[in-house]
Amino acid sequence: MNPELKAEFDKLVQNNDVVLFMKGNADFPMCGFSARVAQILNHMGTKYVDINVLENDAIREGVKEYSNWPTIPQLYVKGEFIGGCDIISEMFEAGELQEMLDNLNAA
Amino acid sequence: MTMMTPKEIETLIQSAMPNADVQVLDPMNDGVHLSAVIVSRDFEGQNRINRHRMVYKALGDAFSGPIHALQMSTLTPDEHKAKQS
Repeated sequence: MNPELKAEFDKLVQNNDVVLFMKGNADFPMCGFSARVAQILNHMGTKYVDINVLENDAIREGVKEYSNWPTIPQLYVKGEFIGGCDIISEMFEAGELQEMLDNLNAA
Repeated sequence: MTMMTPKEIETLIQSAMPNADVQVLDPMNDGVHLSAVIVSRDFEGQNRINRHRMVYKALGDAFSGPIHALQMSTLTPDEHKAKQS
């Protein structure tokens, strides 16, 4: 992908502990899957940066290539791609997401 | 753009993952918000991200059009058995 765009993504996910690429924003999600992940993060009281991919086509298409993942939403923690809605939901139900985010706060 | 039917998605995944047991459902009966359960021994030793990527690869570029929303469960045969008991 375009190295400048890649550098922007790198900066975004490395400078922020938790980043959610989503359709709509945390207050007004525009898709059920994005809404579910935002709801889980809100429920856990996680601070995160929400990026509305609908506002920018370069980001919308770019993030799919950047993550090698064809769907939105996408969650990053500490610069690492964690997954989409199904994975986040499974991790939440298994208590793994809580553990991951607790470690974050402890670090 | 024509949406793919659950049956067509099943066939597409199945043909790329011959070891898999694939079931695609349309729980809301709207032809749009589909749900897939894929059980395969190929998932053994793979984390969730890799399992999903294997299915995405099987689906090719279908997400850029004929599939709008597909919720996925990717299980090994043992995990599937455990879920049912």
